[in-house]
Amino acid sequence: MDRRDFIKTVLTTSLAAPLLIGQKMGQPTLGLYLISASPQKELPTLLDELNNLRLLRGRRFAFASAHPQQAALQAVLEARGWKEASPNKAELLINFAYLQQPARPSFTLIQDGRIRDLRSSRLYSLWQKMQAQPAVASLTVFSLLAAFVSPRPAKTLIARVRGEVIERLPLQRPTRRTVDTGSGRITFIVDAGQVKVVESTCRHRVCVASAAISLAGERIICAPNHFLLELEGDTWLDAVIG
Amino acid sequence: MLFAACRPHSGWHEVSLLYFDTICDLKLYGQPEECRVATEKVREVFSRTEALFSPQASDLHSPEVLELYQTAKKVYLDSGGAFDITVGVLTDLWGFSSQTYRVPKPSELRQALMMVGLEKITERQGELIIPAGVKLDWGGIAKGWGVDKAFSALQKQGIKSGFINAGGDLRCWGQNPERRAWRIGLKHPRQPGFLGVLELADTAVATSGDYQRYFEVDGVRYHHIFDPKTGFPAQGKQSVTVIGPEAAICDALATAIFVLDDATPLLRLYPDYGAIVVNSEGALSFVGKTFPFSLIADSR
Repeated sequence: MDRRDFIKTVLTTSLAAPLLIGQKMGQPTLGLYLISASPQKELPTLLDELNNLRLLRGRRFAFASAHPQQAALQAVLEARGWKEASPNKAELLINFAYLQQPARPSFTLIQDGRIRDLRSSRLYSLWQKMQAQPAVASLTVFSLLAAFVSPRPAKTLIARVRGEVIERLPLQRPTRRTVDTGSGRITFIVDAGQVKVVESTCRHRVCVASAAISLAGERIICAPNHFLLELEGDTWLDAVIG
Repeated sequence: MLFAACRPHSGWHEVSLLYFDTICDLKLYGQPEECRVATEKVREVFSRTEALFSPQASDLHSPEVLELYQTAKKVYLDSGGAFDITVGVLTDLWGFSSQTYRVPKPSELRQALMMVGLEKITERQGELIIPAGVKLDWGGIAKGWGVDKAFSALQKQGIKSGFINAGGDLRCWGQNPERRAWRIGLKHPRQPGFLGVLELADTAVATSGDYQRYFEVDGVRYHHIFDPKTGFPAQGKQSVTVIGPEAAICDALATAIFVLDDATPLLRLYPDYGAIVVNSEGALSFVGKTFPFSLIADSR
């Protein structure tokens, strides 16, 4: 598929997100975009090529969304020694979406935000065969590294009471602080780049139960004490939930 | 004579409010005065939501109460009773209302379960009729509802882009400051750091987790999301995040899916919604509609 067609078809789907995030973050990304009604037929040849190019890092796969050919794809992968795993353990994440408009069957490998030329003769004949088929709207994305973005450690801790900054602490210096917030007392420790609340006089103690935080954008909130710990640093996140 | 009006520039405005026992973040794009008025509207909506749906609330006839009751009833019926606002008696029994946490005796649980089930409530002449002993707990839906109402108020004020994040019940619309979809980090239910990043536009999200409110006895974790059939905290999951058009529905579905063994039949009834489920072994799965989600490398 040429660059223009790829942009017109694939980038209009939600499945372009990992690609765009990876590009934005300067992360290594690798995604195989396959427009086909029966991707299980083309997958063996494509996997061989990726293997020859030493682009496969493991043999665990997972489906990130329901796929109309899930059982067939699973059978192809398992026959070639792949094992199904949880998506957070898999080296190959399979995603599916419908294109807004049908397109000629094709495959495109995107590495680090750029289309990578695949020049083997086997792939050329596969390409020719696919191009002769009628247009389809099924897009399968095989993300190899594309789905994984690295978090960024924070540099500074900011402690607030009722919205006012009461302290700014470097995360690399171990310390223990107890703050009287006017509504209660709360104690937190900073150690090895992480922050954790260890004691609080509040009711539910959700703050004490919260996991340690270390990444830019993460927060620990103690609402009864009107107390907030937040980590400052480069972040690509607009909000944090969970 | 000509008067030159000097219109202040639009920009991003951030404010944190304290409601629902958590911090609610607003990020709004507009002119300073426009955003100030919009923030006041959100305060009004959240205050009203707290007044109507807090554990102490007793209003059973306001239009908002009847509206949310209908939404809760729909999810109750669709989920086969997995989401049920009558679990209030269980919340009390396990000590989550009074912070006197304890594991109830089987006889106490049997007694309490007789007071659970939304069919015990009737709506008559614009009022909810609640039998003695039945107690409503709006905790699984009210915050999401408040976020939806705040969103509507902000839309009416002409705020074209922004987000509301009420302690994890979130609604975003328009574009982020980089003119792209909003990037929402989803915290890992057990480990420090993030599970992944959602890229969303004009969407709501809500999460139910066993880590939000819980106590432990003899190494067993007892959390606040009850299975209305057994009276015990629901087993088998660490967290459920639901993404879809409305925060109230996301909120209720997250609770229902946390309780259900299989979310697929329920989400077939809600084709615009999808869920990210972390089971008790920490394995991740996706159910229903797919949304752009990127895993975080160090959760591997």
